[in-house]
Amino acid sequence: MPKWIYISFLFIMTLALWADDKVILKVFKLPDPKSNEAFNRADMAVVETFKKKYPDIELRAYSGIELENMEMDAGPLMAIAGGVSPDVIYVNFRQSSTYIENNFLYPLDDFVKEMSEEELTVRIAKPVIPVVKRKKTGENEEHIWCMPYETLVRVMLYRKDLLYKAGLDPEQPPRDWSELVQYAKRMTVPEDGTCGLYVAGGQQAAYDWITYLWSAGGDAVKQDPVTGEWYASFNGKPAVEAMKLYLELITTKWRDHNNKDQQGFVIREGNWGMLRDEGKLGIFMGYMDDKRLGGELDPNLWGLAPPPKGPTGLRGSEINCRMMGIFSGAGISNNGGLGNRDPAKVREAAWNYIRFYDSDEARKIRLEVMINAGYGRMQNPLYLKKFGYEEYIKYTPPDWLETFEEALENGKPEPYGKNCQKIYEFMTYPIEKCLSLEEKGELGATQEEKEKNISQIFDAAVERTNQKMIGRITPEQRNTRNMTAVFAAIFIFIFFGIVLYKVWNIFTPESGITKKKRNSKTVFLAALLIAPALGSIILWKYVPMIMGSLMAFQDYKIVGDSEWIGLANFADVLFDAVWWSALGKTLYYMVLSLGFGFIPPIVLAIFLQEVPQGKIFYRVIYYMPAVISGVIVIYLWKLLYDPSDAGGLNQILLALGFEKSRWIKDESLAMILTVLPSVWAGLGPGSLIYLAALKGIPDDIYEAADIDGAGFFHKIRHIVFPSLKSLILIQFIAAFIAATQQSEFILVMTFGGPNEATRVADLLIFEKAYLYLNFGIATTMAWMLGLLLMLVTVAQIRKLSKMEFKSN
Amino acid sequence: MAKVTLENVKKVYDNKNVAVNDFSLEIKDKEFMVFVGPSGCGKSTTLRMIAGLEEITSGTISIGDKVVNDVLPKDRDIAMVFQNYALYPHMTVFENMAFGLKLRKVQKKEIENSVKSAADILGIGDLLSRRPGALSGGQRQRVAVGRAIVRKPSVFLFDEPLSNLDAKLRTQMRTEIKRLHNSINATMIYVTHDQTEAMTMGDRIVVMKDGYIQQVAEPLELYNKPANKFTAGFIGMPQMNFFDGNIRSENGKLLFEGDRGIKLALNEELRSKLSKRSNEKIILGIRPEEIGSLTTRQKKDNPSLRGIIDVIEPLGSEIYLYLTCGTHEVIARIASDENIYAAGMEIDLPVNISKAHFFDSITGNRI
Repeated sequence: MPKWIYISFLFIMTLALWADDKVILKVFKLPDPKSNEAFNRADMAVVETFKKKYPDIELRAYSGIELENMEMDAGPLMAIAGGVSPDVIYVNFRQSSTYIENNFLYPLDDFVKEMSEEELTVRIAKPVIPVVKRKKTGENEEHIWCMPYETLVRVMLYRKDLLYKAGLDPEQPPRDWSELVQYAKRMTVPEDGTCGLYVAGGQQAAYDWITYLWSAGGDAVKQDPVTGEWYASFNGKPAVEAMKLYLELITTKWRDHNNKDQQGFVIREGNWGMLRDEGKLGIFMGYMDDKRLGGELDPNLWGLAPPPKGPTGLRGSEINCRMMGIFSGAGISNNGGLGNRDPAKVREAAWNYIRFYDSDEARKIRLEVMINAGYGRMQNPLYLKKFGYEEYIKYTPPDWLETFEEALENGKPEPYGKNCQKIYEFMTYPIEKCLSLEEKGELGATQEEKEKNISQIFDAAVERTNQKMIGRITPEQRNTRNMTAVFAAIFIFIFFGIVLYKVWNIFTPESGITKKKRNSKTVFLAALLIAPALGSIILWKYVPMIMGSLMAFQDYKIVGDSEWIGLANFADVLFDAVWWSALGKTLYYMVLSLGFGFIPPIVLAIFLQEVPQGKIFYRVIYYMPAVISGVIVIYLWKLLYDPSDAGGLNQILLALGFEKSRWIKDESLAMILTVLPSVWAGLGPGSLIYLAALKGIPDDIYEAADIDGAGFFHKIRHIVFPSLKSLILIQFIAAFIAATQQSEFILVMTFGGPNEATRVADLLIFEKAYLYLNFGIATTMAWMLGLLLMLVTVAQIRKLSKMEFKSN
Repeated sequence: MAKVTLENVKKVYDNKNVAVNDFSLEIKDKEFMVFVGPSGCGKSTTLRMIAGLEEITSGTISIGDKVVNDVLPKDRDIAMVFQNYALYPHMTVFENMAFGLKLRKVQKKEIENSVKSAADILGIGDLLSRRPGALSGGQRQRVAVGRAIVRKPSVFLFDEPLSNLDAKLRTQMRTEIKRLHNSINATMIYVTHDQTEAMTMGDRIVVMKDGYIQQVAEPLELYNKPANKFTAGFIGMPQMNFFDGNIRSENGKLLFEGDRGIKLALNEELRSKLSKRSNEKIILGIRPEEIGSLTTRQKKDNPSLRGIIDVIEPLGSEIYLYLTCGTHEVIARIASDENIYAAGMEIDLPVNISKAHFFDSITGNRI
């Protein structure tokens, strides 16, 4: 055999062996090698250096699902639940408690011992220490769970030219709330589309408002120093003060120079980013990070300052960090497609990556790339000095570093308590309620009354948050719930038994029909033939269903042991107003879905039957939407529903001289609009089924009706509908069940928004499972929904069983 | 008055197929008119044009004195009984019969009386609460007739109503329909492909072929004096025997000489009628009952046909003999007590030549 074959063989074997020594490390995100953007290139340089430094580590990027309105935390949670989590996972403040309590993070204590005190101090700012290093519930010892790689603070950004234009000192941003209102007012010029201030809208609006809550001396959540339990605390005087500020900024009525009625001095929705880029937005709150400070901002145009002081003299800067942690199951439970890996080696590789990513060496690399890209003056002067680039310091606005350091000194970490990934949602609810009442004139006639009502609304919201988000209920409440759950469980058990009995009866032949005697060989053969199909159904449908159902009785944990809690999940669901609201919305969705989606195919079939010419043409055009992929249908309609001027439907409205609509962002319309795409796509196929049935009606019956004097609608009523009755019932059963499981459209189009307007039961179950990781509650809800469906289905099957189907 | 007049009615479909051509007929008030012919002859199309279920291409149709070309079916004061009954499957018998009256906003009491009265006439009074699916074919047909009766229309239209029934029921229903006609005395137009139905039921019969009227006449006239070969062959069971041949003179006598080996001497009466056709091609038709029957045998001057018996079909009251005469296939009908024959026998059967029919060999018209 030629020598070159031996050599090649040896080479390949060497590679394979060498490859075996490589540790594959899955990282939540890697920079995009195709992007030329400066920040990306800086990160790329760090990653390339890491690869050279650690040639035995093979880095792989993770990618996951992204959905409209889906929170940023949802993707990683879904990955963990799906067993495909990266080894190095992204951790943020609000999600950190969930990760820790669910055992997703591997403690870094042993790894951190390798770091010097100085390195630790640089990596972990003082206010961030309680977030990163803390106890898990029920344990006495603190651990370090994750490591920051970027520190950010939330500050006020103001447009200097707009200040100047409004007759204000462009170097003097608002110092307190009173100035903030005044500045916003003066910079709001509706005639040329300029707005004074941006405050966040939507489901997470409170992430802007929290700045003002802190400035007023309040807090979102607090931790009991003795028990360690978290509780909501965004009520009281600070909340009232912050809310009053919002009311003043958002709802004040005034007249512009054209004598036109205006309301507020803020923008909350629409494309505020475009306004900012066009230089028509005066002030907004934004982040600065420790490396790039002002990022790409032009210091001639933009100023950065701490948030204005509240009534207490405090400034409510948010402190936040991008952090990395090691997934506890790294190399164990997330090896899908990666083969067997040594968990210890994977963790070590993960730590090396985490440590290196924001080490001095990495910071220097990034700095150099940014300087070479022309962004030298935007960099943190401390790093410029540290790494020998002092010549750029003179170009950096001095107030930027001051602002950053001031915010870091006096700011507060973003809420990081129990289930705080939902905190903004819970805080937004009372804010929007107050705003809505004020717009209707129902918040109060006097200032005193308003304050009282605001206080009550926030007290109720805090109570709701404690119960729903944090899960704090009194022992008496727990007892009541448990008792109710026991009765409910007994009722469900009896109900289920009755349902089974009725279904059994429906499908059992009537007495009087003699059973044929069959020999055992025939029975055995029949059983043998049916066994594969039956086994498959049992294995893939019923075994997972039963095993999954056990979760309903557990406080189920993805990682670690789950605790049996009896009927507590049932109790919590029964008393969960959100669940009943979701059920109500499901019912509403079903009514709309059946109303819009069920009758039109029948009507269309009748029209297709009656149209004298062009039958084939009409059938084709009505069927065509059905052949379009579901995803494309959804995105097509999303383009139509876009609330901006560029939206398809809005363009039509504007062209006709009407005002544009918010469409899918409008709470009152959202549900109907999510139904329409599926109705549109399903019209054609549905009508063809009925058309086929209509073809089975003999022509002479119509002719007899003509002679009898029947008109079009008489024929529909007396001939068509009676002939289609059985098919309509069959279709109705299918449509009814499908309507309760149609959350895909909602998932992609609205994800339950706006303001929970489309949060149907199916979606809530999905959220509970994959966003809250509360599989026990999710399974309980799924069972309750299923039982309700069973009730209706049994009634329908009963009706169906009485039907006789004949060929003519 | 409920006469029905069709003047030059024509029906052409989109594919240029002429279904009915130049149809002119006057149906008298209270007459029972039968349209008969083979499938595709245009009889149902004509009926449907009278009903208003088909558009008329040209010509006019009048019911009474009113031209109804553009009048909707419901306004023509007609009622129709369909071949497949066309009962509304989800309504009871009562509701089926009452439907037309209900649409015309007749009082409930009156509807009840009308329906019950019609049901009594037809003997379906105890079926009123049943649905069509629970009825036999004959019962459904009665319901369909009942639905027509309650309307008290000027004209009844029947489109092969007995086609789906068995032979025995057909015979029974035939009589009932005729009896009904006698009792309610309305104009009835009846379409059938069955010549027996036509002969037994019609006051007059329209024989149709390929969209054209072949002959309009009373049953016996149609039977005894068919206007052409088609009518002669269509009417009568078994079908008339046809022989192509020539008229020839021989020894002072006039003969019919068939192309395939038969010769029949013609009598004096025929001689005078056919002498001008000597040496011409001609078609002779003779009904089976005029060959070999006792009466025929008793007439001494009748010519004979010699042939070999192929098949004997005893039908109870009569017997059909299938013979080969020369190369002709001949059918003879004799009474059952006259049967002295067996298959394979060579026999001479006298032919009642005075009952022979003669047709032009080119036009098929009666001579």
